[in-house]
Amino acid sequence: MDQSKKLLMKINASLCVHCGACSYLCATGTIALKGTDPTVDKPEQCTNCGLCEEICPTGAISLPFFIKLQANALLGIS
Amino acid sequence: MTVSIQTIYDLAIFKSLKPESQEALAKASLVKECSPNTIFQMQDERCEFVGFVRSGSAVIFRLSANGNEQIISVLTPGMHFNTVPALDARNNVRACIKAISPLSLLVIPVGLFRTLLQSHADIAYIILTDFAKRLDHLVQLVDELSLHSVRGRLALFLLNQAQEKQHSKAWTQDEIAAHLGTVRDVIGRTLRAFIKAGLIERKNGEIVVINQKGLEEEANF
Ligand code: SF4
Ligand code: SF4
Repeated sequence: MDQSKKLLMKINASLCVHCGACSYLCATGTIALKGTDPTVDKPEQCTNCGLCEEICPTGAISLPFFIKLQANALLGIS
Repeated sequence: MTVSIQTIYDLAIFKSLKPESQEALAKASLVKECSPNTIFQMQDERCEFVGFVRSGSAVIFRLSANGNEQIISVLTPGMHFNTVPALDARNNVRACIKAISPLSLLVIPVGLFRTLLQSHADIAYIILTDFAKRLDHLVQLVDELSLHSVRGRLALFLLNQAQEKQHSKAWTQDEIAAHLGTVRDVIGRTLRAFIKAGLIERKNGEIVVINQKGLEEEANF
């Protein structure tokens, strides 16, 4: 099973300053603003690109990820 | 738009100023409103004004040679920009700024900003205090970057996790930071550096080690 399917970004409302950057930058429409509150509107559309987590100025967004080794990683080629 | 003293007072940075300084600021300032998606400053242009965000938000970004936007930070109420280029000899702005929601700014033309600093010691003092804070932040950043220890520890952590037979635990940057005794910003920066160096890739909810030898060298650094 593809483990990543279980993962979804989380927004910590207490850290959010309502700047709207996450919703503005999310290319898939996963995050929508309800008033000024960012909400996960269409979770199934999230591609786990990590942009929202990277842009959030207050660290309010967390995106969990698994860590794995690519088969040919020992050779340093992908 | 004429600026009232209340507008100056409403900005946290100016609250503690003497009334006469707030009045001088009100006289020198203008309110500028921008609609979402308006780019109101282009990088490398001459710095015309110093801006203070009253409401709304904006992204600061740089354009690469091939036209890609590299986002540097997000401006939110209470934050300000252009105080550095307004005072340095080069006098050109370092980045573009685009409103991402209805944005209201208090702007002070560069010439008037300089005059205010020369004529009002309390205004000069709060700007200097802000510069000191930024300098301190930069010194900390240089410290972190030059220590390398977090880089090595993170490389080792990624290698260990990737080689776990059962890697069922999903990590967040906060959890890794806590695990390695550092802060999330440093983890985010180091992961980006590893991606740039071709050691790992981030895709579909996974961090994938693509160059084990390279990461081992980082871990032994
Ligand atoms: S990870 Fe990417 S796709 Fe998912 S919500 Fe964030 S910006 Fe949107
Ligand atoms: S980017 Fe962060 S602070 Fe801004 S609206 Fe989204 S969650 Fe809130």
